[in-house]
Amino acid sequence: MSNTVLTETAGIAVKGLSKKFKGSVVYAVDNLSFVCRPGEITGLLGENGAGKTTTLRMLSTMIKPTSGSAVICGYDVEKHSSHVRRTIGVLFGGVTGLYDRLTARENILYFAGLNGVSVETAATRLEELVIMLDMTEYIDRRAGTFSTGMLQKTAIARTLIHDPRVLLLDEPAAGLDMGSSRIIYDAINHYRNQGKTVILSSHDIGVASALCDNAIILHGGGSVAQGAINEVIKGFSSLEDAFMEYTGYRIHD
Amino acid sequence: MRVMFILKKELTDIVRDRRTVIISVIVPLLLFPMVFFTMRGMTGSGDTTESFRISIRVQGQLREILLNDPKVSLAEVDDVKQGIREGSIDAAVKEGHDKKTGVRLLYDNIDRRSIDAASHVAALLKSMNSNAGQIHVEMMPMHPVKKAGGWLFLSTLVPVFLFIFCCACPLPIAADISAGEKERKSLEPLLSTGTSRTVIILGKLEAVTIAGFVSVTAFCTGLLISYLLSPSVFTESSMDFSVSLWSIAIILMIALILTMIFSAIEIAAGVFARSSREAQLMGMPILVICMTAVYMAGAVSLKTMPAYYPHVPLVNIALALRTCAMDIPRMDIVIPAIIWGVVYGGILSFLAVFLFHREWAVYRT
Repeated sequence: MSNTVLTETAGIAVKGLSKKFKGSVVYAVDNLSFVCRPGEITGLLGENGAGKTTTLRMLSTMIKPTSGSAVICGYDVEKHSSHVRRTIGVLFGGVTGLYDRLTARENILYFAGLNGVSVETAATRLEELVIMLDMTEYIDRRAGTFSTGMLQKTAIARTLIHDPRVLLLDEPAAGLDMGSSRIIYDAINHYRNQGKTVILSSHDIGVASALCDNAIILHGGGSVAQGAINEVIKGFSSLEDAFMEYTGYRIHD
Repeated sequence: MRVMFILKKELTDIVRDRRTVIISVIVPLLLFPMVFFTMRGMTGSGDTTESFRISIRVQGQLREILLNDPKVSLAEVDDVKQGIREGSIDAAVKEGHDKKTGVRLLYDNIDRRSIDAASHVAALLKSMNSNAGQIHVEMMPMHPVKKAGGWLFLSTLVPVFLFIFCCACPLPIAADISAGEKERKSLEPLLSTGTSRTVIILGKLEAVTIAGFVSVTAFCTGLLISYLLSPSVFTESSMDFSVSLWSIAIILMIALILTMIFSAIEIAAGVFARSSREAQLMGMPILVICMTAVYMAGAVSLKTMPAYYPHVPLVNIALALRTCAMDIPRMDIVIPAIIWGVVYGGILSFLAVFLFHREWAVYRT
């Protein structure tokens, strides 16, 4: 990851981004600045309440920043929110938010429609995703009957159906077994190799060190370390050790 | 024992939810006094003339007695039937066929005020019987009794049922489609799509209006079938319910507008609410307001109501429904009601859109 200025049309540039919720005395996100480039995965790491989800919510235009700015593929998240939303694919952590009474196919195609994808294109892309995420068996079953893995894969397919240039993924493999996790991580890698810009928010430092090109360690709403993975772990034996040190947990011998 | 434990927890949970307490206790406490205060003010201004305007076409002692009654004021017109129809007089007392002992009492039996006037005069004349010998009072309603009974019945029933149906039917759907999205955690994925919030909420509003209107139509059809199968369930004797297709078409149009109004306010409440339960709870005061509007429209005479009544929110719609149910759709009431209905629907839809764009409403904690 580099702090060089992005071209107008690629990646994510965040500058001095802050968020303070009404009635709160502390900033949920405090003066955050970073850049994510196309073809790279940036890990947003931090403990609960560090500001990961709030950052993703601001980038996905769900909530407005209190101050600072964020530009995605040349579009400002505040000024051009609808353009930003057409550019991004978002997976919200912990919950899939699928409609129980719709089948997986109906859920995914509904979101394709909401993102302006034509019926033919959506059908073609859906077939690709079904194969990539191994969803053939249940694509026409109602989501209300799904296991956690099925729900998560359907939610990821829903995130990818409109072929977004930027992926904002919050805990994409939360609660999944190894097999399902592997499929999802392979899919994320596939999209990185296609030149997409990916932000991956995770608690799982192991996954982050295996997948991410860059890392931003958040603590108390602010960035305490950021850069390429090898830069962040310089002086530590692993990303986990670096994380523990930066977030205030001391490693005892 | 476990049941009591759960009960205690749930009650604690409810009592600690300030909004639930406000909506279920404070609002009803304040709402009813406010409603009755408003009603008293409006009804008072609507019927300020205590006395009934009676055309008295009898002479002698009967005339004197009627003129001496404080609730009777003399009002003369050339054509009494036209006067009663237009509301310039409430009733007319004419000499009966047997001029010595009888009078005829002409009144409009589909107008509340005219009925009240006729009842008062009839009671007055009957009280004279002991002093001035037997007076035969021949009641002469202007409309056939069976038809008038049906119209009066419908003019009461149609606004009540339509208001209840149009308010209640969309409520659970609106709550599920708006606040339910928060509960299912499907709201954020939805809002992160390329579709604007305005489009999303208007799409939802349309869906609720259509589903609500279908539900309203189903309820009305069910009610009609029930009547056709067993009229005695509704009335003691069978009544004439002839209503023209034109009136039915206006009623359906008003029902659609009414459903849109309630769908919009219920969606707005759903956007603001944190859960479907809270959204449905917010719908309860709306129902009370509806019933108040229907009561106010039913209590006033269509002939003597104040000029501003066709512009009072919801009351005008109830009045329009009343005239259509009596098969005398009055365009001076129906047209303002429809125009205002569309305006209210627009304002409330705007409110829903406005709230859907506000972080403090959508992400309320």
